[in-house]
Amino acid sequence: MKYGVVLPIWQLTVAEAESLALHAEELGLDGVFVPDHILAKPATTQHYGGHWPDPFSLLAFLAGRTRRISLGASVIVLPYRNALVAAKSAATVDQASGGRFIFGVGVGWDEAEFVDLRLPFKERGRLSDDYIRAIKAAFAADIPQYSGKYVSFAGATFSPRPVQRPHPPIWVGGSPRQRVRPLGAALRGAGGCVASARPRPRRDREGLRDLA
Amino acid sequence: MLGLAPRNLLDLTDTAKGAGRAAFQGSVAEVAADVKRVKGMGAEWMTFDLPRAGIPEMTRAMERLARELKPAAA
Repeated sequence: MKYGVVLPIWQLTVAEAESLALHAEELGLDGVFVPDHILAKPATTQHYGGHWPDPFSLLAFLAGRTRRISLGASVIVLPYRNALVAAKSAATVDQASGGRFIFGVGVGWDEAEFVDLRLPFKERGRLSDDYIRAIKAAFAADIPQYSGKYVSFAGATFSPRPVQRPHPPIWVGGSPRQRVRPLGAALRGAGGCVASARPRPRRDREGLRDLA
Repeated sequence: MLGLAPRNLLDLTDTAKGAGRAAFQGSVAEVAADVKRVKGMGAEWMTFDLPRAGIPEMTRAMERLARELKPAAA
């Protein structure tokens, strides 16, 4: 069993996040994870806070300060960023960390945040499914190509690609029955992993069996 | 290949919480039993949210995770 900690970055300075990550590594823990919000709407500030540094930038910084520990997102909200922008950020963190990145992803939950970002909340599952497929395609070749409902690209070089091949571990946050099921098709063959925020192990395992 | 990596708040108490407690909350022995249970279900990672408190409390929680829970759940 490997053990990781999720840093409450909404209440940490970058220096404090660095200090905690270094201490986690010294203690022999296996991973440090950070969550993601672009805007902190009331539902987010009510439960967490309003201070949300960019997770990819923070992880890239921590990559340069640590040597062994895995660095992950728990989770990147896929609809918030263009799929190729997210893929480029993820690949860069994986390069900066020498292959220690864990790509945790989720579909998001704060509808008000989606509204301000002009994103289709009710389509977030289908959109995220397409984004995962697109990101995996971008990681798969120097000149990748992909054609989906929300994302299409071809005829361009995508570099750098991740150190880890075919790609970093992709973890999908949420309950398999409620949030992960829409992503099931994209996860097949992805080396995917479900990180449940409110674990119900037996139910999660049943959900995973359904996805397999 | 699909896996399972439960995530929950790290809430280690000095005394056992006993029956009716929430999963992953309680004494080291109780939480270690939860970790062993999900390990038996195929989980390869366990991730914990640090307590929403000050840096000393977060540091203490990580130290208890590494030095007490991890060996107890091995």
